[in-house]
Amino acid sequence: MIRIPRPVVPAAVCLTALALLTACTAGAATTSGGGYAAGGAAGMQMPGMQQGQVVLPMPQGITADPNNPAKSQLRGAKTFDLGLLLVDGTGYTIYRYDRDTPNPSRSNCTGACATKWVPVKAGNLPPIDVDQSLIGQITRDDGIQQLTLAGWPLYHFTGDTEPADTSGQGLDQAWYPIAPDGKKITLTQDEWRQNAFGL
Amino acid sequence: MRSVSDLAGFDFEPPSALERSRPLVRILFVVALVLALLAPGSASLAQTNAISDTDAILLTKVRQAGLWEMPSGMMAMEKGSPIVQKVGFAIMMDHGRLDVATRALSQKLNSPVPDQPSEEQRGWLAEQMAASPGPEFDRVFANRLRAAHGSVFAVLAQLRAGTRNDDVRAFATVGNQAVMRHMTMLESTGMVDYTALPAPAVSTTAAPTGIQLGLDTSQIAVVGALFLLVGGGLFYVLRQIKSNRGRARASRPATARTGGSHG
Repeated sequence: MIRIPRPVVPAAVCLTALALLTACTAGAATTSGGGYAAGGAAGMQMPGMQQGQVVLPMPQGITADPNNPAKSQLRGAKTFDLGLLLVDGTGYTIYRYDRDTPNPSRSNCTGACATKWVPVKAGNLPPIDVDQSLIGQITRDDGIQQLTLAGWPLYHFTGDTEPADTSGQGLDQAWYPIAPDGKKITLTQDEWRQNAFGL
Repeated sequence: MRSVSDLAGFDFEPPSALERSRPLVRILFVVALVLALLAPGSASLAQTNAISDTDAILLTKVRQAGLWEMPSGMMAMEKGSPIVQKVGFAIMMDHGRLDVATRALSQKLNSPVPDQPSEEQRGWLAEQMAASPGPEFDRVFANRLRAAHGSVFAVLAQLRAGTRNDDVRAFATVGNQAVMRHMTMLESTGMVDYTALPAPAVSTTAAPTGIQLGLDTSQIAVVGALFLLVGGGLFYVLRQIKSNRGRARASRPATARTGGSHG
């Protein structure tokens, strides 16, 4: 008489279940993975340029037109993530330099530095949402009249490409956007996110 | 030669040491098998950095929102009433910041974004250009921007809730806050006609339980197989213990006859 050893039956059940399980999980993995196969191509249909007659006025950085009078206008602005920020009349961020001195006001950014960080020239447009009493001006070594806020000489950053862009923040560990009260802005978007949503 | 089963108190006479330890080995094997099968479940928690089609759509939407809303904001600064001028300026600023983040993420994830607004958006810009300064411009500006923000808000919410990509999730958090602020500012102009906005597309019918739990057939099969495996393993373990006791009981009287027993 051929006797089937007792352990064989449950072992067979277990192995069948194992095979089934492996097959299922493998199948599920392929299904969910398929969604990522062709990333990036969707929604990229460009609208025809020739169809619209709309000429889009876009805010321009300091390099586009350094003599735009709005570049000399100071404006306080509230952004959704960094709070109050000093910008020029076109919405571009204004910076201060830690190696300058506010009292007496003196700029230590000259030569190549001053082509990368363009001094904010004095102009005629009245400031908006900035305390007029904080605004002053100095005569630079190169003869240019430069605006100051709370004593700090003010600059545009040639690396900024959009309104309220703060790409110059923290460069050389000395350049920071300036708030309408003259304080430097060290808050970053990451910190803002933690403040807004963290514990 | 002493084995584990001797220590466990099985004092029957076994045929060999290998035969004696086999049940325990089998039990351990079953336990190990179950554990090994449960382990891959934790792998599903792992994050992925792949970008999906929906992630790409979000980048495109936010990019294009900036491309028509920044010019809209500039127009508002010239043609709007005082409050609309301020709202336009704030929207332009925020979209500048969002656009910097969008382009950076687009580059990082290698997911290109358009550099022109959509045809529909260009139409809205033309409408604003045609509107006369003051209340007429205000109405076009507030309603067109409010409606557009509402639709982007829905996309942002879905991606914030469900994207698998960590960067896109962080981006959607930021975008969500900005768009919420813009809707609120646009509404503060008092020009928004809410009845003209599309009604919320939220399902009011109860979904079947299977769909609610997000179970599909393969998942149900996995649970079934797991149940079978664990149940079978338990049955087998109990069976082994029982048969060992039976064998022990069968061999005990023999030892009792020769040596005497306390039990």
